Amino acid sequence: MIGDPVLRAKLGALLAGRAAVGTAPAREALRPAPERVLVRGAEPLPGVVENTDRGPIFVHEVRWTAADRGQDQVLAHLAEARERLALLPESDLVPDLLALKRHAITSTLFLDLETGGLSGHPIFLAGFLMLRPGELHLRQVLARTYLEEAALIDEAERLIARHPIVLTYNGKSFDLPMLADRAVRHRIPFRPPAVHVDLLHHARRAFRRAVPNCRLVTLEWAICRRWRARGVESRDIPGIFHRFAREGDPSELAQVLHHNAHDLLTLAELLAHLIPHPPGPRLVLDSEAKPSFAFDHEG
Amino acid sequence: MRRIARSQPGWAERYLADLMAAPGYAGELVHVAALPARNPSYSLPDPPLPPELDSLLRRLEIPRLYAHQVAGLAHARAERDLVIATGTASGKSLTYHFPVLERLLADPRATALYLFPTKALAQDQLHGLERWATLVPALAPALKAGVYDGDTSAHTRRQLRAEARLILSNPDMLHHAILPQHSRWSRFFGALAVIVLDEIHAYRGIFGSHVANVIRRLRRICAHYGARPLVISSSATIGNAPEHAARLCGRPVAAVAADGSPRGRKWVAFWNPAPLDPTGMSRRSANLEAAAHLAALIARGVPSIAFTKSRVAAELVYRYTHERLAERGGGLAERLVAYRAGYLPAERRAIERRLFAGELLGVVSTSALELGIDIGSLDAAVLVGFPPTVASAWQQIGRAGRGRVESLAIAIAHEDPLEQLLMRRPEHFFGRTPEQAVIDPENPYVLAGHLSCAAHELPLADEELAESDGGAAFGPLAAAVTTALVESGKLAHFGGQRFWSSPETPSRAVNLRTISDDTYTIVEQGSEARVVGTVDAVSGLELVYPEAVYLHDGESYVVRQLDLEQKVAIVEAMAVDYYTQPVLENSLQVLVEERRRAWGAREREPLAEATQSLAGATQPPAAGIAGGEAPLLAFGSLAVSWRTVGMKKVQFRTRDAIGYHPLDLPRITLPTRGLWLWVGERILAEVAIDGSPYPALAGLRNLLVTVLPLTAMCDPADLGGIIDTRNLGRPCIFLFDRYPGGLGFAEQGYQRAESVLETAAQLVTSCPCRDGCPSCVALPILHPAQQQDPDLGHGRPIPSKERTIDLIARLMAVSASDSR
Repeated sequence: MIGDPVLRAKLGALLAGRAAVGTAPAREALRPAPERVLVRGAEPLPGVVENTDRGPIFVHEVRWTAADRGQDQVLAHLAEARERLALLPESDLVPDLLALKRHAITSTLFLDLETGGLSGHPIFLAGFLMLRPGELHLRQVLARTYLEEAALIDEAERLIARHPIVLTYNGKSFDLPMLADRAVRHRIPFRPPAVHVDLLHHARRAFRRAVPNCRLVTLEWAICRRWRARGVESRDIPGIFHRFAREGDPSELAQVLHHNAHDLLTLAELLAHLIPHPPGPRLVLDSEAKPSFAFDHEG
Repeated sequence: MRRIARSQPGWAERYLADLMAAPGYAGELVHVAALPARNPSYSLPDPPLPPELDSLLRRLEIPRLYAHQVAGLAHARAERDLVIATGTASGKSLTYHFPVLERLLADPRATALYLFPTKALAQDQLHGLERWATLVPALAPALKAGVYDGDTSAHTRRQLRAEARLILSNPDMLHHAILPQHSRWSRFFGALAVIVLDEIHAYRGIFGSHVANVIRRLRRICAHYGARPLVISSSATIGNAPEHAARLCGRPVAAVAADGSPRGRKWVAFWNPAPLDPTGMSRRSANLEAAAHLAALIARGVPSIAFTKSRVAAELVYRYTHERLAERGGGLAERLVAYRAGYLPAERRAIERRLFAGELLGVVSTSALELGIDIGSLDAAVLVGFPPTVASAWQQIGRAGRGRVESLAIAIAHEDPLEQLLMRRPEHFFGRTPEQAVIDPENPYVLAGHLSCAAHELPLADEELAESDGGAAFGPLAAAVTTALVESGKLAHFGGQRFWSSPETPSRAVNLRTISDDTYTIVEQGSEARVVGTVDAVSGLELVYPEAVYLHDGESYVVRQLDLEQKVAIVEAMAVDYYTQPVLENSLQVLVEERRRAWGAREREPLAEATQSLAGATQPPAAGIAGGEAPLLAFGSLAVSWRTVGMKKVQFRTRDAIGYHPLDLPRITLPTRGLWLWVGERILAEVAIDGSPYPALAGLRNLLVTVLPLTAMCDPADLGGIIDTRNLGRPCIFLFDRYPGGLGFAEQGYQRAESVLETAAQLVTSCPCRDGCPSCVALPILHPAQQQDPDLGHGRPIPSKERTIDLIARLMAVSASDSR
């Protein structure tokens, strides 16, 4: 059960000590644990500390425009998609798309969380992407220690409240329940978003015959035609966070911020690909095809 | 309402008299004790019960409450935690249901949590509560209840979390699934008014130590959501129910022990099957004798139950009794049933219904029934052999006896040295107080696991760990264990709180029990597959190996195939005239010797540092410890394993062995830690009888298993003791923890071996027996193998008391001379 031999030896010593003293051993005073020292010389994380009612949060913020290489493609696709959306008759649209059409583009919030593990573990990074005309606004909120999670959740709640439409990838199963859950733990009131569009479901319907699987990174190269330089593996992210919390070396964590930002950009671009073209000849599926929400794919 | 046949007054005496007057009676009735009748003691609750509960009592045809039931209610109303420790069939469950219902009726938001040691018990209690809701519809809103366990569907789980007022579950579920996800339970825990712990005598030893910590974590989470629930426990008769309950809950409890329920006269008879030959070396089959008694009682219209020590024995007794009843005719054979844990829930329900309705007159069971499943009471109990503890035996005996009706218990001995001893000297049974339940929630190894879980649930705050007048919830070692966890990187300290700092989920690594919950499903292939029953994974390899005869409900099946991955055994119904017994091989292997010292020396003078690991070793490790003159003690990692190596075919009734076949099945291994003692060549020679040191070594081993729990605060069942020669070339006594990885019991034995031996010396020299008994050098089989038929005579001889005392004296002489 206890694998670590050093820990086991310490527990054994406690056992022996208890036996030596008898059934009522003196209570050991709680030794103060060593304060965590940030690794010297490591490049600091990009971002600033903001103070909130619940304490400090660490925020990394970037605004991209068409002048930024890499993000210009995303902006362009989104712009085109917006125009297509404007032309689509409402009667043809599923509820999610209808909501997007009816709200201003600035009403949408892309959301992606990184956590310290599956359920029961804390959220340490909440990534948000917001759209302004000609601009992508990234806001990443990082809990540098477990103590800062409450403030992170508060901030997430604030942003969600300000944006009627929240877009996620698998958020119905993961991100939103996770936020609600952690909010309950911290006793923070949490209101779910007015509209929640989970692009995973739409992507599955639209792309499942064109791609081997619907993982976000697969769609990133298959549909969006973008490749990432080798970065962190998703499954390593929780361990990276816990290590950072204990040891303070930010280098691995910086990669997690990159990873999260990439995911959000892909999410935005995916939305663009999922907005259908105006009615016209039935599309034949080929590798360049962009199947849509609105058509029935069985034909 | 309960229409079980009422037996005539004086029937038990008449039955015993008839036995003695029967032709062929050979003096088997060696002892008869009569326990006096007891009048009921009633009381009235003040203030009175709410009208819904009065209604319920009327519908249940209960005219008055017993004094102990009212006492329990009074404690609960005064917000005092309590334990109900009255006897079997004294209306214990009503004693906890009523305080719960009072609160649920008074506050429409309030909730209650019931915890049972097994899933079956939870199901049965739910059944009872649902029935109450139909009897008194006004109770329905309070009785919005459900079982939340491993078998509950995802949909039902969501519903229960959202709406249930009363949830029935078990500690394993609480530990693995509920507490780690406590935010989903904020409504339920925030309004939790009462926690009921039923059958707390089952929470002993290792399991009990774990459960005590789970309860502490539960109360902590309730406090987080603003609730401070009352805790009500119920216990069978054990030596220390109030202390045990207090230790389990972490708080003082009031005790309700004076039993106000009526009891008729109870006869307890010891029946020793007659010898088959003049030497008395072998006796008539206990299973057959039991069947004869059971059939005779049923034929007289006496509702009866027979308890056996193993599943196989239950099936055999059932089969033999059924045959006898079928010969008598009159439909009696249909009024007998076999009942044990491997049955499916629907089958158990059906049996209970028929018992209540009076359709059934006889039940054959393993001790599964000891655990409170409500079958009503019966008038006679037949014990086929004695269960391992006195407490269990009295619970089985307590199954007989309803209200003022006279009852009878007959205990039948096997050809087993211990049981034969009890037949000769009944005072060893009647004179013993029921065992105490011992737990050690503050064991550092146990604590480390649960503090990790607690930190994962909610960060551990300084105040929780520091000393305060109420005492830290997790005990005086909590601070030190937490510091060790922080130093090992499992927890991280920030701002006065300690957080779980790893992506793993800590509850996954903590197993509350030593056996896994895994089960094998037994399926009959036919035109459609039919599930015949289930068996736990450990017993599975001993019960449903290929070609085994699997007995179920009096039918025999042959195992055609065993799928170890899917955990399925395929069987085919086949009438055969034999049953099978697995031949088991136990083995022990020393993996790493971590510490070693001379007997009598202090720990800081080790002879050798921890050295060899097993990998690549071609010689037995720790060579040199055995074979010298001086007694030595060592401690380290061991692997204890069991394997079914062959199968014997045994004829029904005659018990003749008619075949043996070797088998090749996987080993079940328990990696653990333990100590081993080498007594030295000189002492070994001096204590030998006819050249064999085993009578003395076995006696010492048994004493250590009995006495070490007093120091190590565990249960004797948590320890294993083996005398092994293979590992070190010479016979050594091994003592180990029956839990993967060990929990420090044998470790404490290593640290304090000399003083443990002194305690053993006091025990054995003050024991009034002449040649050895279960209170000193003999040890009851604490883990009866479910697949074995005790009727085939597997008992170990009682070790030599005189040689054991000699061995102890010589060891003590060594430590006296060496001590400085």
